[in-house]
Amino acid sequence: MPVFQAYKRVIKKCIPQLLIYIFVFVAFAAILMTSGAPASTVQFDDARAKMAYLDEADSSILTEGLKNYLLQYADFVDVNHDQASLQDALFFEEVHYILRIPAGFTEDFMAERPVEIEKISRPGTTTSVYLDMNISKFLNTARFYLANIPGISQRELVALVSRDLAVETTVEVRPTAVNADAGESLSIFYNYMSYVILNLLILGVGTFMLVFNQLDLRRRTICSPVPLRQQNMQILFGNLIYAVVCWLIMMGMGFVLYGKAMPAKQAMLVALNGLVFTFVSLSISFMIGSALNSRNALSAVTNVLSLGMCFTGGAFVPQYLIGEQVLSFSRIFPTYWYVRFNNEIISMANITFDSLKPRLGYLGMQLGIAVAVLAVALVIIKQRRQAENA
Amino acid sequence: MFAHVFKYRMKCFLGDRVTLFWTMVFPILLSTLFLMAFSNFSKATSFTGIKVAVVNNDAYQENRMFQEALDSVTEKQGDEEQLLSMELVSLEEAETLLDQGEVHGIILLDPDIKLVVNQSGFNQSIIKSFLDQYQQVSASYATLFQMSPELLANRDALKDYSANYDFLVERNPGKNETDITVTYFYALLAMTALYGSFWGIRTVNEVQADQSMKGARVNLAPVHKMKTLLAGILAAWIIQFAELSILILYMSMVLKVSFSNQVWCILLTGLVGSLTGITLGTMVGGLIRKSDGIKTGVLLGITMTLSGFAGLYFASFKYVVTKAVPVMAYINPANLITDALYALYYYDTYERFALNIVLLLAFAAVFCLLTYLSVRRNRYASIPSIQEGD
Amino acid sequence: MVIKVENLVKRYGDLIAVDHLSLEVRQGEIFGLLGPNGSGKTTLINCILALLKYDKGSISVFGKPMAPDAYDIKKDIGVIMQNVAVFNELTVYENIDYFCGLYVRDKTERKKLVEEAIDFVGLNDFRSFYPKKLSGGLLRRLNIACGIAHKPKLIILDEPTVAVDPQSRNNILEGIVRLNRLGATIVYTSHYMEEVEQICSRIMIIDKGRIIATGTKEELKSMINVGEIVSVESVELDQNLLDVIRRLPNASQVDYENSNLTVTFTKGRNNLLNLMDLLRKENISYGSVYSKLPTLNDVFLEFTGRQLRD
Repeated sequence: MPVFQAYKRVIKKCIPQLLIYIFVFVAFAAILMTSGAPASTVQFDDARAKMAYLDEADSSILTEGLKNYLLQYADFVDVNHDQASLQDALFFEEVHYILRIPAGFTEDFMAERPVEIEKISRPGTTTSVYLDMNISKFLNTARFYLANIPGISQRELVALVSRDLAVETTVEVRPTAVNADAGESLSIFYNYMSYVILNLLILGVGTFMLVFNQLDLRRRTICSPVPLRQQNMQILFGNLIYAVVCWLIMMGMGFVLYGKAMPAKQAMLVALNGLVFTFVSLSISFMIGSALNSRNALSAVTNVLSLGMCFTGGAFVPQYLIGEQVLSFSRIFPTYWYVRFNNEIISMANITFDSLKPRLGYLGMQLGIAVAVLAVALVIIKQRRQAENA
Repeated sequence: MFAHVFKYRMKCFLGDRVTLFWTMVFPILLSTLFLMAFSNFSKATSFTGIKVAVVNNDAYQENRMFQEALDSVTEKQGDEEQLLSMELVSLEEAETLLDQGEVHGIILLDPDIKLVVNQSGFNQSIIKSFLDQYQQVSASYATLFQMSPELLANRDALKDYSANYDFLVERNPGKNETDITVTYFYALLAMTALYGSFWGIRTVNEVQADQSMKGARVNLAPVHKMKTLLAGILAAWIIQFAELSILILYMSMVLKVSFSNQVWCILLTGLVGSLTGITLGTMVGGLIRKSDGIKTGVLLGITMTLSGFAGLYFASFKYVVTKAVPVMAYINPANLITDALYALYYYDTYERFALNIVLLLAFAAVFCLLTYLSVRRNRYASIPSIQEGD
Repeated sequence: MVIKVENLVKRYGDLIAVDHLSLEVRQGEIFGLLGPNGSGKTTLINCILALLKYDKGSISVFGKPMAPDAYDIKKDIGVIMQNVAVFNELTVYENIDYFCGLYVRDKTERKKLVEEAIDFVGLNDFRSFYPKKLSGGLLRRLNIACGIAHKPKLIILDEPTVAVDPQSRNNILEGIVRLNRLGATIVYTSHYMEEVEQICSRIMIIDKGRIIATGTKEELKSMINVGEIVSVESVELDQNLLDVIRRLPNASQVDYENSNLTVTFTKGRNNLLNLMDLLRKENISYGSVYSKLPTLNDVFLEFTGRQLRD
């Protein structure tokens, strides 16, 4: 198998470059693993927003009451009180909400004079709405008692308000197959994987095709006694082996990192999706390798194509952050279908054939794209041969 | 003489399509991809009515008060987003909706109010806060009537609970909108500025006799080597600055990325940033006496790491890094460029911007010095036979 | 004296690339530096050009010590390196203009010089071509034009004909001779003895960083014993006759194989005639007869015991 041997040698030369992608991916996965805190699936916890609480008045019983109450809805973050630190913290989402109790607040509030509390947040965000709602709940309840019970003390007031606000609704949590937080990092991991697979394949297969397509080299090979059909079979064989090896490495990583977090059914479907995507990547790489003839062009096209498909398809940024128009455009990319399949499968509570059926179409879309790309590649090859032989 | 070398350096660089691609076309494409990836960002993070399924059973039909309360939060008030967006359905339908992720929670009157969710989260917590409030208000009235039974008889004296009193005043956090996505674009500009180092490598290689045959020729000519080097750096600087300006123009005009309106300060950042990038390249090119591929690899590694710390991959990483290791804010040129643009955009004052620019200049000076020291040598220990070309 | 090198030593670690070497290049000559690959020719040239540090010795050019900042010397030197050193982004004209501009400030004068250089190497039809579009031979010519456009008094060519087709090679060699006639002193390095023999007025043979011999080609050839080598094809000889041939005057070596006879004569008159007479006298028929004068390869062979080209 001389052609196949040559294939192996070319791939071997690329290994350092290929390893960069894998190492970055491993580092990324490691960061991902440490960041997500596991949330309980059976018990409901109130969400907590990150909040900076600044009390300019010396704390009073009332404001302490408010602060204690807010502990249920917010994690207090220590931030320097200077303007720049607060701005930075808010901009980079270290805090979602800054609450500043002005001097003289308690006095004015108890005297039922108009009072204002300053808040700084990103307007109109969910966390902002959430905290607004709970802060006004406390203050309005306090105001209700203050208005109706003249001369009530701060201590009594806080006691009453706290008692009322302790009333809670019963919440029932229906468990899902994959814990939501784990599900999110699973999706991130497998979606990012598409970028790595794409790059591994374009680099490996593309480089081989580039080397092998050099006019003189190919002519020499064609002149050899190995039949052309057999040469092509060996190339195909090499490509397939390489693709499957890449896929196995990726799936191995997934298994080591997330093997426990994922039920078997989901894991198998995600792996199947990965295999399908690997084949699409293979046909894309094949096309690129046949169309280009310089390494510079290869690295440019690799970057633009892989980043382009992964950004617009939602491999880096969740699809819900991507606008409708972009998403409808990115349907022509396999990444879109690959990511969508992962997201939906991972978040699905229980998988039945009925719930799976529409999703199988996503795999079909990927295979369709693979075939289309392959057809384009064959046309390119044919035209190039004709141009060369003319 | 200087003018002669400068003129031809310009011509050479402008004909260097590979470097032009990486220093201009690639960033333009990448910025477009960023825009696409975040096209739905503000919509996705801004608050929209939370979808709930309300089970239409007898208990619900009988509870007028609860219906009114629901009405008050599901109807649009002015231009403010309503809190909840509800669907009145049967229990089975509600469960299907929850399973498919169509709603965040089910409100079930059984006959006590109960919330069914499949995970914890802000949206779920907001639904719960609303339901809590409904029950807490009842509790408050009960408590009050218990404490002051006369109010039950004399309803006119009762001051009603009202959630409408708004204690909170919003204050603007910064000069411009708090939009973390601008960081990605600023960090991309920083990356591009540091890509200027590719020009730097080339400039240095072409005056070093042991790095290129052209360098040998330059060393044989009756011209001071530093003169040739300076002409090259100047040409690279002008081209890099022009490229960066085009990129900024493209971002602000076409992509509508928000920048501060201090045009001159932004241009100054570009000018200083390009110089830092180019001299980084000349320094690395001078210090590392290895093949072009290795130099480029080293620089790519440096640039991509520094840009990553400046927030290119995760905007908040910039904040996390500088908070954990404050000195990183000052020793990372990519962060200095990003931060200069950020400070212009978000701060009212110029101190932080000025500090960034001064530090960038200091970096450029250090890089220049190291370049000088590494290139200064006139005779070489050995001159490998260099095969030119790619 | 255009170049004077005294006692030059250059080491790369343990390897001695140039070993106590001295040489002089005189005004107006074509000085050939002949040696196999790796003999230290390029290292020697790079030392002369002050590109390389060296361990010992002194070098002066045009009577002044050579140094990296000896710009008044450098302006009169033109160098053509082994590898092509041109910018792919510049046209033929621009490349020559760029390098010439490093030597000649005056624009009108430079324009004239560039035109002459283009004429000289015969690239008139290709002046606006980019290097990538040029064939290997044309590229070499461009490389040469870049080195000589400023009309240097001393031109150093380091293996300018490696991997060049015969036609371009001739063009290059003729050019070198023409430059010399126009007054330039030439230093020419090569491992092709034919080229060196063809154009050089004085030749230095080096090996392993040491001088083997110096002189005109006639002088070099006279240093060895070989006068001429006569080959006779398709000749039937017996042992007796071979002995007679061996006893011919000046015959130093006689080989007979497959009916082909090769006789090496030391210097002397009528060697060929003597052999022919003998054959005629013995009435022996023969095919073609060649007489070959010794080449520099024979010189190298005799001094080092190795062939010049391996």
